[in-house]
Amino acid sequence: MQKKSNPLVKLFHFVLTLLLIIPAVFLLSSASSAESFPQRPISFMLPGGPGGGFDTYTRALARFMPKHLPREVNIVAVNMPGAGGKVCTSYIYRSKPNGYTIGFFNQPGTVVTELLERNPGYKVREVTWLGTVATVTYVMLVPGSSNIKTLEDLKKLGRPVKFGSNGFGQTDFLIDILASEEMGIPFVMVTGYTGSAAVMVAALRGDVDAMSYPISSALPNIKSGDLRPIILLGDKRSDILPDVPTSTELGFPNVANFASMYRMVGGPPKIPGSIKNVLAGALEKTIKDPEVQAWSKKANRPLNFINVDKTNEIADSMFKTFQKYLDTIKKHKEKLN
Amino acid sequence: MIEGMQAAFLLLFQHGNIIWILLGTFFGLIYGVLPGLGGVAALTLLLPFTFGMGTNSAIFLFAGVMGAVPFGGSISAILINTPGTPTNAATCLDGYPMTQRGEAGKALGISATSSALGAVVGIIILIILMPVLRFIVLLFGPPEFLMLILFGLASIIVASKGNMVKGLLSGAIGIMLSFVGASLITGMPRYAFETNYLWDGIKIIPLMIGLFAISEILTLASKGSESIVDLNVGKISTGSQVFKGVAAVFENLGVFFRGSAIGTLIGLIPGVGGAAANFISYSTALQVSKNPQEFGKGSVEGVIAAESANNAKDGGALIPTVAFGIPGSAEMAVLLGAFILHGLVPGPALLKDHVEIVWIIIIALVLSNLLAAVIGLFFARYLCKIALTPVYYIIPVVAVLCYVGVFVMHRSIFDVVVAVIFGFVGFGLRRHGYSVITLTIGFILGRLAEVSFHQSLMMGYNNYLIFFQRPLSLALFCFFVIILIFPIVRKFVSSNKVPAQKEIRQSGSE
Repeated sequence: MQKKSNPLVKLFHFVLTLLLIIPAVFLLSSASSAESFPQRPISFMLPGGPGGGFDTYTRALARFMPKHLPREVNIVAVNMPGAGGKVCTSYIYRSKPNGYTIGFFNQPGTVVTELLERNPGYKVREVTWLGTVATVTYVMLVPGSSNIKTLEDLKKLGRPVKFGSNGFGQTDFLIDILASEEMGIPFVMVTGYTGSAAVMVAALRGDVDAMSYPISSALPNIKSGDLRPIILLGDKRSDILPDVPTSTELGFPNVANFASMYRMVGGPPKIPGSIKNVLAGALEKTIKDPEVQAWSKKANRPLNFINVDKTNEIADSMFKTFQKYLDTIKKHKEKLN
Repeated sequence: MIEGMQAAFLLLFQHGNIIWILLGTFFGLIYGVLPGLGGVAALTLLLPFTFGMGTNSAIFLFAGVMGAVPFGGSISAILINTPGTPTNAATCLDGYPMTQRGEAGKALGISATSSALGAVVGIIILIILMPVLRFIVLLFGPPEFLMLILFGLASIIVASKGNMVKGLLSGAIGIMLSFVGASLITGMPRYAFETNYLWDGIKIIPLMIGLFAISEILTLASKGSESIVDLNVGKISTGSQVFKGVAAVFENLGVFFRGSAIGTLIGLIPGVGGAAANFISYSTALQVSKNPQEFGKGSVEGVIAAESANNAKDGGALIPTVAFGIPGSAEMAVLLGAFILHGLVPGPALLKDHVEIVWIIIIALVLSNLLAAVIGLFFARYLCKIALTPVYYIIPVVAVLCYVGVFVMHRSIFDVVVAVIFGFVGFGLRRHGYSVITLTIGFILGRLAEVSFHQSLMMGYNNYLIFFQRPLSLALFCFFVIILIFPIVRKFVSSNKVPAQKEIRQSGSE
């Protein structure tokens, strides 16, 4: 494989390399100025593995959001599962506030972790919020074959109700324990299932009596009769399940305060105002894009945009809400051990 | 059902869908071979490219990838002791020793054949079970699953034969390592030292790559061998060897069918994962084998058991998908996520209204498995040359592959650190005669055992009777006890017989 090195070829290679390097240097140097954001691909971090809820939303944003940016750059979905979302949240928190690293925050999960832990690695109240993509309403479900039909049936089971959940610190766990306490349901938790699919199978198998699940994700299995919704955890009846009573109607208005999950988008603290406005604007335009709305309807992945100011407000009030429930949460954490 | 099949076959010959399967197979093979990258990585990378194509074509492509990945992973497991994906970890245990013996071609032949046929058997089981799918999925709760895992853990004893203390000790180390990280039950971190990294425990890919590949690099370097195969062993004739491998599968049909059945069974339990299928099958084969002492030293049965299970699991993972619209494996979860991005809502209704989707997955899985095997058999004789390549080429290339593979998985440098640490741990353990096999079995099954044990208790309001009140759990438990006691009884009976015969002889001579 030995070739004689021709000086002309060498020169050609040298020139070629220069031609490649010079534009690259220019690109890099211009990227550092905030004037013309964005210049290079944006990493969109998400707290979960491929195939989950955040994953689907992120990939949809990665597909539709670039054309709403002032300059079309790629948005790259980056899965960062781990430590119940902590790995992702603290990664975003620590990254450079230049707008090239943004991501999803699982609220109230991040808030509760921060309240419970000595060293969570982030401060949610310092995050630069860009808006909320979707609000997830939970519904309390029992297997279709179960005799339980109402809240009263749950209370009169004669034994503690077994709730299935992914585990401590997950949103469904928080909702299960807080809603049951609030509504006076005697219960125990069965945890350790890896993913919501496993919890659903556990319910169908009869490992557990009940579970809480995002309404849109549970819908196909509700329609097929595998699962029966008994209480909608919120204050407004759902359009897709109009017959299911809400917790507020049943006389427990407090449940609505903690039983929703917000898919909030944010970045590290102190993103400059101009960049923040570009991103927040693009996010809003994307969600309101008719093409995106059509996808949302067809795929049954609800989108309801909440703007930056309102998102800030919700994130702040969440701290106060969960501060109140902190003792209950701690009590059930102890119980598991 | 039949209409769906016809529709799917018609679709196969439209829009160049066969080309998509072919592309998927190539892509899956490459992603399988590269350590650290697996099916999930391949599917998520391909996802944006499918937005422009029809949903059906996208499914052909995805299922094509899924079918080829496990065999691709076995190639690197066999040739360089590096599991290409976690589902190939058990393949290293016997595949690589075969390579060292100069039988890489045979091992690749076995892997290709049992992979392809294992997938077919998995699919056939799926089709036969169609009418009772829902029942089957709901059969295995945490107590039953715990019993299955106990079978697997018991194989540590068999694998330790001849070196009981060291074998059990490394098994226990494996189990302890699996407990690192936040408890899946309570969320309480254990041995995590307040770091986010250890919160999720020691990840399987860095551990495996360290324990197998990096420690092997160290061994090769320290021994000063010239190539992976000891040249003194003799010449290796690769061409005919590949077909010996194919034949070996047919000579061990029992091992093959058992592996495929176990793979399908583990596949249908959501959230368990392919590595468990691979290892439970391997450890079952180890226990019932007539030659357990061969395992870990290049046993043909070991490779068959491991490779048939990890391909059959795809058929199994389809079972909850078809029955409830729930993913049975990580790859299946990505596939269903892709449905959503294509505007389809996964769920029981989707698969009732679009039966052809199930058949598209089935056809593409089978075709890509067969294709991957044919490609594998064709190239096996050239791939074997790796075993004869001088180590000073092998070591740097494998090392770089390992480090990069470990890093890209989660873009975490700590993963690389873990791999290096376990490289040295594995090197030390092997040097002093401790078994890496029992350590891995303990590591893979320890956490699963812990979780299903606790779940069972939580389900039963902390009453231990739950293990004996459920008929299937009780039956599995009895079977487990019998298997455990049988060797002792046999030993007792035979040791009683021998002195008795001696006495007769003595009395006869008097």
